Amino acid sequence: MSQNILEVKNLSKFFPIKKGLFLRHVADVRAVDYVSFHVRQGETLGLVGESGCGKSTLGRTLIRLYEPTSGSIRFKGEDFLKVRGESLRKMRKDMQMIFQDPYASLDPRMTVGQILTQPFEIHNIMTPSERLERVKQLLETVGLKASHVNRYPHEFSGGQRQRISIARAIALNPSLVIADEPVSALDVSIQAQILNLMKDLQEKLKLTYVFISHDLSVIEHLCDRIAVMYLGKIVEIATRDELFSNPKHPYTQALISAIPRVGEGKKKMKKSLSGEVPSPINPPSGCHFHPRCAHKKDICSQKAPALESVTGNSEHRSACWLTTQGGL
Amino acid sequence: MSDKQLSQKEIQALEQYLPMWKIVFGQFLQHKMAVVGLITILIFVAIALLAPVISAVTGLDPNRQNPLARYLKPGTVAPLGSSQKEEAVLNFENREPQAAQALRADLMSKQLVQSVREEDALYDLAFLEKNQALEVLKKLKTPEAKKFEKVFDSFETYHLLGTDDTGRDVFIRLVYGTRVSLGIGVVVAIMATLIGLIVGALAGFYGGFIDSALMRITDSLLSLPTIPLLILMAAIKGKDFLEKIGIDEQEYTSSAVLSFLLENEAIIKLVFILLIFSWMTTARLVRGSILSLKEREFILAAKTLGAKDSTIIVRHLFPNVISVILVSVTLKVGDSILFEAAMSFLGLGVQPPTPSWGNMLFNAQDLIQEAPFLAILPGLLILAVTLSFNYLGDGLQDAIDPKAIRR
Amino acid sequence: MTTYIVRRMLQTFVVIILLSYVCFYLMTLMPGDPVELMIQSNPKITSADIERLRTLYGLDQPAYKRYANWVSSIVQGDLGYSRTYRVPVSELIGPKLVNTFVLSMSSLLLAILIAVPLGVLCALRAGSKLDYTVNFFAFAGISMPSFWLAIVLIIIFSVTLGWLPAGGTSTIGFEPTGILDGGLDRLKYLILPTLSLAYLSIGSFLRFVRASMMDAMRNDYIRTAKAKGLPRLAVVWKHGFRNALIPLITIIALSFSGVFSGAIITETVFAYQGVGKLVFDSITGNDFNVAMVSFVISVSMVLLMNLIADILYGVADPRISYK
Repeated sequence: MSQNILEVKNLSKFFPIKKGLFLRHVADVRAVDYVSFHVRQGETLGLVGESGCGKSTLGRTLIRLYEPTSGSIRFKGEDFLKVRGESLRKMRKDMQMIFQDPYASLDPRMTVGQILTQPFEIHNIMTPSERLERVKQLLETVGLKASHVNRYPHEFSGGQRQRISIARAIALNPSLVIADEPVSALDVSIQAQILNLMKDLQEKLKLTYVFISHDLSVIEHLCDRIAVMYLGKIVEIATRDELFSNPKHPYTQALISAIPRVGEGKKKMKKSLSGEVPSPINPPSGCHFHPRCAHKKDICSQKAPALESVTGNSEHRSACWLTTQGGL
Repeated sequence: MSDKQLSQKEIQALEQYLPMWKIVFGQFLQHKMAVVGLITILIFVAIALLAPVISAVTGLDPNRQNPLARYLKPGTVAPLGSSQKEEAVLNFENREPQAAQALRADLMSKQLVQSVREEDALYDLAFLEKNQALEVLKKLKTPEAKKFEKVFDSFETYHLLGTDDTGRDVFIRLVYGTRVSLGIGVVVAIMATLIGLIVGALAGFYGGFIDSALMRITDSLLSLPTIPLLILMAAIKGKDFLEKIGIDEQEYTSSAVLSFLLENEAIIKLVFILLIFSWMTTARLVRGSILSLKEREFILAAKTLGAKDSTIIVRHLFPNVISVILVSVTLKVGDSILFEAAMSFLGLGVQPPTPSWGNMLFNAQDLIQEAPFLAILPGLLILAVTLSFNYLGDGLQDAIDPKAIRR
Repeated sequence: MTTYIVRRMLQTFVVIILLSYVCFYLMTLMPGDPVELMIQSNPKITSADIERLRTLYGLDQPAYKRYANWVSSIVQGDLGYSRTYRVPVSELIGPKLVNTFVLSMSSLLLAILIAVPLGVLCALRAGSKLDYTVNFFAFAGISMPSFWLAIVLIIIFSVTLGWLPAGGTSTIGFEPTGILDGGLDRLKYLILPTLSLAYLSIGSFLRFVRASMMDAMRNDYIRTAKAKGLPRLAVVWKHGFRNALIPLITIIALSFSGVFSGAIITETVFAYQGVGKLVFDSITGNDFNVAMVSFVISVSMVLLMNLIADILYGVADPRISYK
C-alpha cells in the first residue's frame, strides 16, 4: 500500500452570517462540516455531490485559498496549516489547482506566454530564455502548439483554455493537483479529451489528483476512490468498483441510479431523489439526509451517524444508521 | 462570391490576432463626439502649454492694464498710454544700445525731430502720430531704423476679444486662464484618482475591517453637501490656521515649505479642498471592480502558485481596473474644472490678478450691463472643455466596455 | 427592514453631530470672534475688560466645551443672535427656508417634467437624430457651470429684453393687494433662478431615464408583452417605464444634494433670499450663530434626503433586501 500524501482530519469551514443593528454573528453557513479522509500517493480521489454540497469549498480549503475554521491537514507528513509566509509560498509549488471556468481562470490581459511564465517568475526559477523554452515544451505537453505563446486567452476555445490551465498547474511539477470541476463547463466531446489528457499526465508525471465533480460518470471514468458529499459531510467513501457495485448509503444509491445507462430503457424504475437540498445554514437534525431518505428511521432525525467501516471492508466507509447497525 | 478560395496570406492575415488596444481604439473612433472632444482637449492643452509663446508673439501681457482701453469691443485696436510707450522705447534702448545711439545721432543730425536733448530723440519720435513717425523712419533707410519700426508695432494693441474693466486684453487672459483652470482640473483629477485607486484597492483586496472602515468614510464623504463645506474651508486663512495650531509668524516665515505654501495659498488650498471631495467615486468604482475580480479564478490561480499580494495587485488587479481608472480620470477633469470655476466664482478660489476662467466670470458678473461679452466668453470655454472631457469619457467607456454595442 | 432604517438613522445622526463639530471647530479658526470685534469698535477697552468679556462669552474655554454649550442651548430652542442682521437667528431663518424650499422644489419639478418624457422618447428612438440632439443638450447641461447659465439668462432676459428682474426675491416696497398679486410678483423673481437650477438636473435625469429605460426595454418580459399583442403604449408605460422608474426615484432623491449645492450658487447670483445665500453670506461674513444653524440645517436636509432615497429604493424594488 502506498503512502498517504494528504491526510485530512475533522476539517471544517464555516462562513459567518451577520445580522441586526450591530451586525451580530447569528449563524454559520456550514460549507464543510468536520470532514476526514486521506489521499494516497499517485491515486485519484473523486469528490462527488450535488451543487452546494461544499465540495468546491473543501477543495479550496485543502489548498488554503480559504483558511479552515477547524481541523488539520497534513501534506506529505507535514502540518500544512502551520505553514506561513515564505515557506507557505514554497510549499504551494507542490500543490496546484485546476479551476472550473476556463474563461475566468486566465487573465484576459496576459498572453499565454506571460500566464505560463508567471509560476517561474513567482518562484524565481530559471533564466528568461529557459523559461520560454519550458513554456513551449509545456504547451506541447498539453497538446497545443508552441507558436501559441503570443496569443491572448480570448483567441482560444474552452477546451484549449482548459489545456492552458492544466499547463499552468503542472508547470512547477507539483505532486498533488486539485481539479475543481475541470470539465463541467465544456462540451461532452471535449470533456473526454481533457480527461484523457489528465490521465496521461498523471502517468507521465506521477501526479496525485483530487478530482471534484458533480458528474458521477466523469468521476467513474477517472477516479480510483470516490468520496460522496452531502451538505458539507462525506457520507460514503470507497474504491470505485466497490462504490458502484455495492453502494451502502441511500444517497449514493440514488446518485448511481440516476446515471443514464445505454440500453437500459425505461424498464427499471429509478430511485430518484425527491425534495430539495436543505439549507446549509440550518441543516436538518441528526443525519442531514433524513428528510429525503426513503429508509428513514426514528434515530435518523435524532443522532448523526459517524463515518464508519462497512462490515467486512475497512476501505469502504459509510455514514448511515442502516449500514453501521448491521443494515437494519 | 463567398466560396472564393482564400490565399495563404489572407488566411494568415485573418488569423493574426488584434491586440487589445487596437480593438479599443477602433471602437473609440466610432464615437464621433468623443473624437471631436479629444481634438478640442488637445487644442486647449496646446494653448495652455504655449501660453508664454502666444504672449510673446502677440506682444500681449495678461496683467498689463490700460486705462485708455477699458471695455473695448472684440476686434478693436487700442493705442497704448504714454507711459507704456516710454517703457517700450526704454526697453529698445536697453536691448540694443548701439542701434539706439546711431539712430539718435541720425535723427538729430538730419533734424527729423525737434528734440532739445539728444537723449529725448527716440521718445519724441515715439510720441508722434504713428504714420508720421514711420515716414520719418523710412526716410532714414538705415538698418537701425528698420529695427525701431518694430517698436511701433507694439504701440497699438489689437484686442481680438476686447478688454476688461482695467483694459487688460481678454484673449491673453483667457489663454493664461486655460493654464490655470485646465492645470487645476488635471492635477486634481489625477491625484484624486490615485487616492481613489489606493483606497479602493485596499478596501476591495483586503475586505473585512479595512473595507468597512474605508467604505464608511467614503460613503459619508460622498453623502455630504459639498458646497457649504467648500465655502467653510475656503473661508479659513492659512495664517490663522497655523497660528491656531501653535505655529507663529517667525516660524512660518523661516520655514521654506510653509512660506511657499502661504504664498500660493489660494491655489494649493483650492486643490486640497477639491481633492478631499473628489476621490470617493473612484474609490467605490475601483473597490467594486476589484471585489468582482478577486473572485475571478485567475486571481485564485495566482494565489495557489504562491504569488505575493503585491504581485497579485500589480500584475493582475491594476491592469484590469485601468479602464475604470482612465474613464474616471477623464470625467473627473471636467468635474474639477467646474468645481474650480464655482469656487473662483464665489471669490473663494484662484485669487486675482492670476486669471482663471472662474475668477474672470466672478469679475464679469458685476459688469454685465457695461460688457456682457466679458461674462460670456470664459463660460463658453468652461462649457467647451468640460463637454469635451465628458464626451471623451463617454467614448472611452463605450470603447473599453465590450458589452456596449454601437447602435 | 426596521433595523436597517434604525441603523441608518443612527448613522445619519452621528454624521450630523460630527460634521457640526467640524464646522464649529473650523469657525473658531476664522479671524474675528465677537470680543475681537468689540475691541476694534471700542479702542478704549482695557485688558481686564477683554478678559471679562472672554469669560462672559465662554471664549476662554476649549472648543469642545464651547461646542457642548452651543448644542445644549440649541436643544433648549435658543438659536442665538445674528451679528450681521441684529435679529434672532430663528426669525431670520424661517422665511429663507421657505424661499429655498420653493426654489428647489420648483426646479426639481421642472426638471422631472422635462427630463422624463424626453428621456423615454430618446430611449425608444435610440440612435435617431432627436436622440443625438437631446443627448448633446443633456451633456451640455452636465458640463455647464450653473452660475454662468444664470448670468447668460440675466443678460438675455433682464439686461437685453428687460422682461424679468435680474435678482431679488420680491419687489421692494411693493405691497401686494391679494394672494394672486403677491404670488405673481414672487413668480417673476422665481423664473430665472428656477430655470438655471433646473437645467443642471435635467441633463443628469435625462441621461439616467434614457439608460434605465433602455435597460428595461431590453428585458425578456418586454418581448413577452409585445409577443402577446399588447398595444405599444401599454408595453412602454406599464412594463417598460414602471421598471425604469425604480432607479429614477432614488436618483431624484439623491440629486437633492446637488440641487442644494447648486442653490447656494444660484441664490448668490440672483441675490435670492434663501438658505443657500445665507450659508454663503454668514460664513464669509463670519456671522457665527447664523452660519452654524444654517450649516447644520442644510447638511441635515441633504443627509435626510439620502436616507429617504435608500429607504425608497427598498420599498420600490422588492428584490432588494436589507441586512
